[in-house]
Order: sequence, then structure tokens, then C-alpha cells
Amino acid sequence: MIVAGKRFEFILLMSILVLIYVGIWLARRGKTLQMKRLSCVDALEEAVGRASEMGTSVWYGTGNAGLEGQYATMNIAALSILGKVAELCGKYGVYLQYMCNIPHMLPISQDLIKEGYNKGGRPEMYNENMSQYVGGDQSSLVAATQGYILEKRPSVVMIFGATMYEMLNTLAFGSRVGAMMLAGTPRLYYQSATLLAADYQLIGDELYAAGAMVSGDPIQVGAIQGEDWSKIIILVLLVLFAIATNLALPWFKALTSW
Amino acid sequence: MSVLRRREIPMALYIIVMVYLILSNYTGLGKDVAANIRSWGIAIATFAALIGVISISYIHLLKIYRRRAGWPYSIVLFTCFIVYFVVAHVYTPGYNWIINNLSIPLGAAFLSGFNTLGVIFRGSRVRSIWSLLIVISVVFTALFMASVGPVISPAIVSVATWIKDYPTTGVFRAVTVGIGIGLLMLVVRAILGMEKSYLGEM
Repeated sequence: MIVAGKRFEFILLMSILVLIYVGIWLARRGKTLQMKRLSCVDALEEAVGRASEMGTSVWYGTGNAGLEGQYATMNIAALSILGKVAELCGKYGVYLQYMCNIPHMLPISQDLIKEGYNKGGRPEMYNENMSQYVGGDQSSLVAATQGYILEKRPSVVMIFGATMYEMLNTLAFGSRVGAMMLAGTPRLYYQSATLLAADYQLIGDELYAAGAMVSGDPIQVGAIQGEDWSKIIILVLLVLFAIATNLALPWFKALTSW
Repeated sequence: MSVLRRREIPMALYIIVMVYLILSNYTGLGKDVAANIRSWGIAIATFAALIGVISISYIHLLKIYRRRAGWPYSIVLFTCFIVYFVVAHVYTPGYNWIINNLSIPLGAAFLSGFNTLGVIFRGSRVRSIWSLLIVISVVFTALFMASVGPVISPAIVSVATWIKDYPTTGVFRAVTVGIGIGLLMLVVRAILGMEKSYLGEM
């Protein structure tokens, strides 16, 4: 049934999915383990509070990708954070500006921001221009972002999701106006920009974990527990396979090509 | 709420398509349909560009009409948009000229000339032993990439190659594994209906 050469990979995939589900199942029964908080998630409220005190806006971006292809999951997690940020902006009475260059992100972000302001208790603050489509090109997104940051001088700049070089540009301009910056992407080649320029970062898969954490739902946090167990399995496999490769053990090759 | 706006329909579509693509990859069944589904994504995204055109026209024409703050910039933006659109469809060499001689050089100047340097200066303030390690790595890698490194000392090449091949590769692999598992966590949450942000819901 399963294609030869992909059987081991499939079993591993299914094992990880089961472990994540078990984490959620245990959390539903109130058995969530204590886990490390992400400083970037904890800083969301501090950041919006800062914008409230300074009477400025919060700028939020999800970069040059939408909800298709390999980048979809990254931006789904980033949209979860956008919803939470909108809720905090509603709570503290802060203007939130979201910009995108992918058309289908516009209505989704509008709905999320609207719901966030409703939840935050200030539905009257919401207006459709809080979410702007700035053209279908990466450079147009960069230009619009830079223009906004220089003109409005937001005290908080957040960029999460499947970001590309616009992250570097955004963080550089945020730095220029002295904004507090929160950023995170699972994209490998932009980890360095995040680490160098942002005040709070989500490194690699932390973005996905943050997506679950901001929901505030302990059951969703149970998924992170399952993710951590999966990492332990991967680590054990890495050590075993490293030993097997170096000792040229035949079962290793047989297993991976099974 | 109308039937078309109900969350169950898009969620069901999302979950069915996702599970189908995963199973098709591992079983080899229905590969043609899976390829078709992937091209639908591109087709839908292209169609959605229309929403963007309407949005940009609505916002900027309204801004110009009502003489809101910064309305002259909206004229520039809208004119550029029309020029790009017309030239792209009427005279392709002209469009290529705009892209190659205006857009790309401006983008490159901003990215490398201003922003990369800005970020490096911001990040290179040595505040801990870890920052110091980053700065040292950056210096070696930059010299190596600039090709002036081997002229100064062959040791720079050895050190930079070691940094590239061992610590960097190790970190990249660790991050890649984490990203893969994190992605699966999001898939499970989506299948269980916990993740709804792609529907515009919190």
C-alpha cells in the first residue's frame, strides 16, 4: 500500500502525529506538563502596552507569502498571533496596522482584526483600513512598510510568518525609528536577521508553538507537549543512525530504503 | 450566517485536501489528482489578485478624491500602478526595462546598502559572549565571501569553511527538524478544528 522507500518515513510521520494527539488528549484531561514560556509571546502584551503609553500604533506584517504551498502553515501560525495582537490592541485602545501583498490575506486579516477588537472590548475602533493590500510585489510591500514606519513612527513593529527579505528591511526601518521589534520565521535564511535585529524572536518552530500558545487554550498547549516528545524521538533516532552509519551497519540502509 | 460563510465547509475542504495530499504522497494513489489540486491553489491565488486590484484602487482613489493626508503620494502610486499594468500588457520590453533598471537596482540598494548594514550594526553590539561569537563568525564569513580573505590570510578560508560546514550546518539541521515537527503540530491542530485563523477566526 505504501510506496517502497517511504515506509519508514510514513511510520515516523504517523508516530509524530499520534504523539501530538496524545499531548492534546492528555491536556483535555488536565494533565499538561509545565513547559517553558516563550519570551516573545509574553512580550506581546508588554509591546502593545508600550504603544498605548506612547500613543502610537502597532505595525504587523506576515511577509511576502500567503496561504498556499509550503508557506501556508507558517502564515497560519502568524495569523493566529495577529488575532491575539488585535485583541490586545482592542484592550489597550491601540491602532493596529497590518500590511500584505498577497490578495487573499486581506479579507482573512480584516476578519481577524475585527474579531480581535471585538474581543478586546473596543469594536468601534476597528476600521477596514487597518488591513491594507499594498500591491502584488515584494518591493511594493517593502516600500509601503518603510513609508508607514517612517511617516507614522509606530513604537512596535511585529513581523511573523513566511517572511523573506522584507523582514530585514522592516526590522532595519523599525530600528531607525526606535521601535520595539518582535519577529519570527521558520525560514532558515532569515533566522540571522531575526536574531540580530529583533528585541524578541521566535526561532524556527517556535512560531508554530506561539500560534498555539496565544490561543490561551491549555488543550492547544498540549500539542506543544506532543511536539517535544517527537523531538526526543528524533534525537534518539539521530544518535542511533549516526552510530549505524559510522559502523556501516546494514539495517540502517535497509530501514531508510524500506 | 449564510451557508457559504459557515466555517464547517472551508474547514472540511481544507482537511480533506490536506489528508488526501499526504496519503497520495505515501501511497502513490491519485497522483494526477494531487498535482491538479496543487495547480488549483495557484489558479485561485491568481484570481484573488483581483481583490487586491480593487482594494488598491478603492483606497487610493478615495484618498485622492477626499484630499486626505498624503493624497499626492496616492496619485504617484496609482499612476505607477497604471503605467506598470499597461506597459506589462502592451510593451513587454518596456516593462522589463522598468524592472531591470529601476525596480531591481532600487531594491538592491535599499536591501544591501542601507538595511543589511543597519541590521548588522544593530546586531553587532557585543553584549554577551554569544554576541561576540556571532560577530567573530560574521567577520570571518564576510572576509571569506568578499574574496579578499584568502589574500589577507589562508587561515581565514579554513576558519570560515569550518564555521560554514560544522556549526552552521548543525544549527540549520536542528532548526529544520524543529520546523518539520512544528508543522505537523499545526496540521494536527487544523485537523482537530483547533486552528481557525486561516478562516479569519480566532
